Amino acid sequence: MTFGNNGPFFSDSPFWGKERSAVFLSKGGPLPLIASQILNGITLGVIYILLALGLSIIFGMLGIVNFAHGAFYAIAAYLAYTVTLHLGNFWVALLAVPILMGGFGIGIEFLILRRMYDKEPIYQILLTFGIAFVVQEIITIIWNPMAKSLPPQVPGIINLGFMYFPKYRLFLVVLTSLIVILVWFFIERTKYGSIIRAGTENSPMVSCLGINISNVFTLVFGFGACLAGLAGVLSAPIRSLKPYMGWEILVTTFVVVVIGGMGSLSGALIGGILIGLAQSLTSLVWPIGTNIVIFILMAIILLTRPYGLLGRM
Amino acid sequence: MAALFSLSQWGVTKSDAQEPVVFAVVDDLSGPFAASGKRTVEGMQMALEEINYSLLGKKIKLEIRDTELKPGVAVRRMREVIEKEHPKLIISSCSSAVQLAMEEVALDQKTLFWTEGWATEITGKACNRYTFRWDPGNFTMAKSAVVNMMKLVPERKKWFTITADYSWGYSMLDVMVPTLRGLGARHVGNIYTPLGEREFSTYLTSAMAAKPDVISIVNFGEDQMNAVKQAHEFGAKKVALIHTPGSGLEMFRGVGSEALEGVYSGVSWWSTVDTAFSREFSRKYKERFKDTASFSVINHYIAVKVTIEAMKSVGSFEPGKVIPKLEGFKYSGPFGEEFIRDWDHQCIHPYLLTKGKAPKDKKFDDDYVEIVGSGEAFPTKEESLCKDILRTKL
Repeated sequence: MTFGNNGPFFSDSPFWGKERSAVFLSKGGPLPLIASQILNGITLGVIYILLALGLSIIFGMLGIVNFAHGAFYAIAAYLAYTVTLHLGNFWVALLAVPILMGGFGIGIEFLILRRMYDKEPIYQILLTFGIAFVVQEIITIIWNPMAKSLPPQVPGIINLGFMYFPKYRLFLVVLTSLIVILVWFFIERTKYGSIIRAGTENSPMVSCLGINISNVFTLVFGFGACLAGLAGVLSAPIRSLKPYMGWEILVTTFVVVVIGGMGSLSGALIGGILIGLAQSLTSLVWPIGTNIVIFILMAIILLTRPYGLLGRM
Repeated sequence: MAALFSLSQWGVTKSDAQEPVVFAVVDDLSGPFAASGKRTVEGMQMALEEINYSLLGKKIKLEIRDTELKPGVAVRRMREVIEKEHPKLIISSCSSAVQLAMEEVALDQKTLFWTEGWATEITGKACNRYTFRWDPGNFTMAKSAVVNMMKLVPERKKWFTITADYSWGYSMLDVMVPTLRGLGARHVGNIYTPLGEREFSTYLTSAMAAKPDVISIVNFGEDQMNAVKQAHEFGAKKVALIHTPGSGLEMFRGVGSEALEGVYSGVSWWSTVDTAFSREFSRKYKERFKDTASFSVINHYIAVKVTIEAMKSVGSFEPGKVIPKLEGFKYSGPFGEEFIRDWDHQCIHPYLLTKGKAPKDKKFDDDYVEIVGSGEAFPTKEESLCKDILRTKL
């Protein structure tokens, strides 16, 4: 048995072929490893949630599938990189960049996107796709295509007994949970939130009630971009930055939204955690499957619940 | 009739004197790997600027074609540039699949071709008389990376590998594991990771649980950057030495100094290699392109430079004369005295092992690593599948 295509060099060494999904267990058995994977999965999941929330709200309210969502995430990560490098302070970036991205989103909705609402969906898809490419090229021009790296913020690791866990990731989970609670509170418990919810259900009706729906649309798109920006800034210290990084995460985010149910906020939460856990637990037993398992999960859920876990007709 | 004859002869000589000789770059100049093609062009430009774009009384013209990272397009563009411009030298980098396809065109069209492609086959099974390579290739990378590391830390005997799950990763392990065993080390485990993986926490946690002495990350490009970054984040350095068999400036930049500190990496060349050639090249490159010199530029610079030397020495541009000169050619290169093996057209020179510097020890921005080991381990004639290329008639 020979792996690779490089001829006869030591092709008599098939031993690692059997270890394709090798998992090396610590003395405590598989439980500590599974526990650490659950933690890793949640860290992955919270970033997906931030992105999926924005994507879902925009779809629910504006009826637009925003293909530029990943691009917002990418450019925010680069902005965080530059701000941190020049000011020496990541926290300024964490505060300023999402706000900036919110403004960017508002600008795009106001100047371009709103002209597309009465057109067929294909135009909206082409437009947001185009925006994504433009943003990606802008990143390449400003920052060049070479990979960039932001040093880890909140350095250090915590010994949880069963594993070492980076402090930054713990911070990420806590902060994102707080933000998600705030967003949920805003949407479920405030007046503006009720307008958004109503708009998601039936935007012409909201308009009839005398609410300026087009302003709400603008703000919602800005809000979605702001959340994507936040996800970008938070991811920057744990990922290497590349101009096309937005596309990679966009695919997973779509899966999260579809699984949770398009336009459903709690769906985005559940979908995000579910996908994060599915990926990290699969990598434990079947590494090559991590990128496949999310689609298998999506297929199963769509077959049994065509509108997603919490989606409605 | 005589007048006509002399006229036509005059015509030929005139066009010969005016017609420049073409050198070509056929490389990926658009899309995500455009940066690599750009460096190929830079290497070519530096070598040509040194001779003022003129050689043996002729002007040298640089032609550039984009492969768009597709073997089909690469082959078409290469054939097109050969038919139209009759280049006397073509250089290229990008993926091994593309390089292997281009190598065949070089043989078919009898055109001198210098490649940067890492597949062992390029100067192995698929070798041919028109193709030359300076980069050491995967076999040498895999073997040297292990040998150099074991020379430095012989007591670190338990190795764990995290390997990219595609042919490159398998061929690396095919060489690394037997080399480790031959040196009395143990390969205590391996995990294959999907290509394009961004999250290595699981694999690192599993690797750490096996309590190895060395965790070797057999991944390339962005996968490697994320893996090394996360190895630092998850405290893997407290458990084991972190090692990558093949890396370079772009990956170091993507990892960053904090995470790179103490990490061992195999590299083909580094800007602080202490030879007159490398010092001079690093200085010139910085002056010309305002950037730190990297392996992917010097690789092409040396290819063009050596070819120019050979052309000068035989007084001709014709592959029929230049190639026999290049075979066995000894030249002064980035590592001092180097030579080209005649039977597989592989340039022979050391492969390096570096160790990441602490951020506070850096003297300039790109001063990521120090060189801690070097050695060469090219396939021997018995190991190599390159046979009888010298029989090909030029």
